[in-house]
Amino acid sequence: MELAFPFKGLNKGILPSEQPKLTTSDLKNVRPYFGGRARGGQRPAVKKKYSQQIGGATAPIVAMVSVTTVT
Amino acid sequence: MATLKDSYNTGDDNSLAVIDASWKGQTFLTTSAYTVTSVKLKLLRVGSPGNFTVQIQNVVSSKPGGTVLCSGTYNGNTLGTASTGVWVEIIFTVPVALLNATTYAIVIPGTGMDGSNSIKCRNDSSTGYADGALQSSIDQGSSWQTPGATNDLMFEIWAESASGSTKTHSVKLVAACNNEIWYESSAGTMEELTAANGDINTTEPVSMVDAYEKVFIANGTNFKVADFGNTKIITTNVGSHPPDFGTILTGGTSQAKMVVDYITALSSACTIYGKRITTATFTASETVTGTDDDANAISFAMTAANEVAPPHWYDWTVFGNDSSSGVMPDKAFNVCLYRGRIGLTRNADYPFQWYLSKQFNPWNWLYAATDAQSAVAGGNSDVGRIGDIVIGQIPYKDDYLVYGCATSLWYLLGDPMMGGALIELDLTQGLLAPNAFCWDNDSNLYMVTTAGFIRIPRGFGQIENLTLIDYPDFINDLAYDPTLHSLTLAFDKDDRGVLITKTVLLTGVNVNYWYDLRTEGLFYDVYPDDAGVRSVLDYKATDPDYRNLLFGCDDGYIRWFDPDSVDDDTVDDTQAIDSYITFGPLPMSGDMKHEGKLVDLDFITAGGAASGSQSDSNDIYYRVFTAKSAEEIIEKLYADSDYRIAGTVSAPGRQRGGGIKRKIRGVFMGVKLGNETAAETWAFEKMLYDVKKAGRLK
Repeated sequence: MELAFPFKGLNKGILPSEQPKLTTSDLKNVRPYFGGRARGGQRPAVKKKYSQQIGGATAPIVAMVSVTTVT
Repeated sequence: MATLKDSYNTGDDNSLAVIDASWKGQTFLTTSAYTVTSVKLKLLRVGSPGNFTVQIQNVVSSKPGGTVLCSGTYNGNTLGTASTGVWVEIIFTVPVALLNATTYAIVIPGTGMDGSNSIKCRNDSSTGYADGALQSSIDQGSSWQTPGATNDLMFEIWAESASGSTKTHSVKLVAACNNEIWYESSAGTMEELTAANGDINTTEPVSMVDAYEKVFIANGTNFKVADFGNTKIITTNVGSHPPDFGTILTGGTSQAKMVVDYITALSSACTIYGKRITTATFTASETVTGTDDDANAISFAMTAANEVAPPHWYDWTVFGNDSSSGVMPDKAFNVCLYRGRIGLTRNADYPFQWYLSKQFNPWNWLYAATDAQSAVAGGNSDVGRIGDIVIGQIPYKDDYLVYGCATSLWYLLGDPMMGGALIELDLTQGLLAPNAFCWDNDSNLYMVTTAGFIRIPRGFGQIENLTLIDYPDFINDLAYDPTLHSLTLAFDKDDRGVLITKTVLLTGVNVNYWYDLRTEGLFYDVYPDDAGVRSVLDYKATDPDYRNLLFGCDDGYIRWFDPDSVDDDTVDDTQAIDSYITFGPLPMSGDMKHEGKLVDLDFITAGGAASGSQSDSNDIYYRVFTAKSAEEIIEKLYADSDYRIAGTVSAPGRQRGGGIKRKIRGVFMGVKLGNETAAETWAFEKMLYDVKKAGRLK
């Protein structure tokens, strides 16, 4: 028998013995697409985009917006 | 778009030839500062003159000075021969900035032309252009004569725009953190807007919206503006007739002009913010004038300080801080932009109320004026009832504004003062958090509500509860508490999915879900505590390198999903991603009364041969569980304990000898696959397995 990656993600609503095809009751930090293909794998990493620490200290960034100007 | 600046274009009654050494010119006086882009002349041809040049030169002693400031060429063979001439435009190769109140000269050299092949310029020989005169040279521009003060060529000077210089369009990221405001001063570089330091309280909800080249901030009783578009001038006494919203002010010395946006007071000391529309700038101590809406003359002197360029930081009040422009709510924690109106809500004293400013004027909150653009306030309920508590505002372009309330959903269709309607969307569920929504690129609206994770198809089609069947306990398990957690949604256009993030306010501990729009599956994520998401933005940066879905994180760093990285960033290090999937419960025997036996197990990982063309997986660990019941398998998978066999699948691809032959028995089987090693990643194609019916279950 063959089983593919659970592309349809979590299913916690059905009888356990009837777990639907391509679903799972537990997974973590994965995506159904990897390297541009539908073959499932680890999710992309969360990486710093800007080197500056906003606020100059370890404090949460509570809001972000972008503003457009013509000058 | 070009505009006509200076000209003398009627009354022509003669034509003057431009031939060889016989050049013609016309002096003119600029009436403002501008960047000249072209000149129009009324011309005709004789024979085939070919290409000719037109120049703008400086002026010395009222005559062309010989310094060419800019020039353009025109094909004279395309001119008409009719004696009345036609207007033609000669575009200068490189536009040049001209000063205000300065005399320049148009010069038309005759080089390359002769008596049979020449151009002629139409002129007015009698009436006269007051601020210049026809110029004539017979020695190729070495010297010039003025034939007569009333003799002038027909001419028009054109400039590209009122402010002259090329405009710069830019998009900046703005972030609120640690009671500070930071902005992107150049691509990839954030710096603090120091004037804002300590002026907001980030331990309370902060809501920001971009409108009119500014960021408007609602933070309880703190209403603030970060202004990135206006110029600032200051006076100690604005006089008895202050400028109005939209008044054009002119600097008496500099001739700079601005369109007034906001002023801090209607009398005495006043700071004026406006959009400057000239390249000339306001200078210290000059007298600034204009005319107010009632045709009164405006006149005041600037302080001994030149104008100040943006960014600026100031209190957001009604215009001139005067009640003639209405009254803002005394507090709000949510702000949006809809149809040119700024929307405010989440006033703790009137939680059912929403407020919309006057259209195109964020400084006017005068309600119920006899004006279709007037400010307006309202609530979401049937007539006669107090409205539901408003949790968040969700504008969709200029078409409608969704109000997510505590126990209901409504939307405002159109404009509230002009034919709009407030319509019930759903009276059985409410928005869970102010930022628990997002739009995808097909105009579908996603929300986390009291009923689950829902999708409202474009045009308000039938609401779909995406977790109702597959994850009925989603909201219970999410256990969101607004006093303890942040909850945000974001659409990732690159990976076509919706990200739901829940982060503990005090610690950064987080729980996240990714809904993949391609497979319609829900996936669970955990990030390092430092990287707990507190805010999100799909940033449409000017620089393509920064056009990403951005996460404002718990540690003050802005992050993104990097498809080329395999470890998460913490505040000062990296952390391996602990990722896995599970299969099961898988029946082993075909019926509940018999056990089955696993006889073969194999895995195909991603990557083919090592370093081939396909993305390679690193090694994957596996654990196999068996049990008598399906739910027991689920419990074992969750606990990740009591497995029967475990090992490592060598990757990439399918390795020789990689199959697992060890026999184990059970009624149900579960398999866990994953990787938690630093600097590694993994992907998976298939699991292959064989089971055979074994003996009766004892």
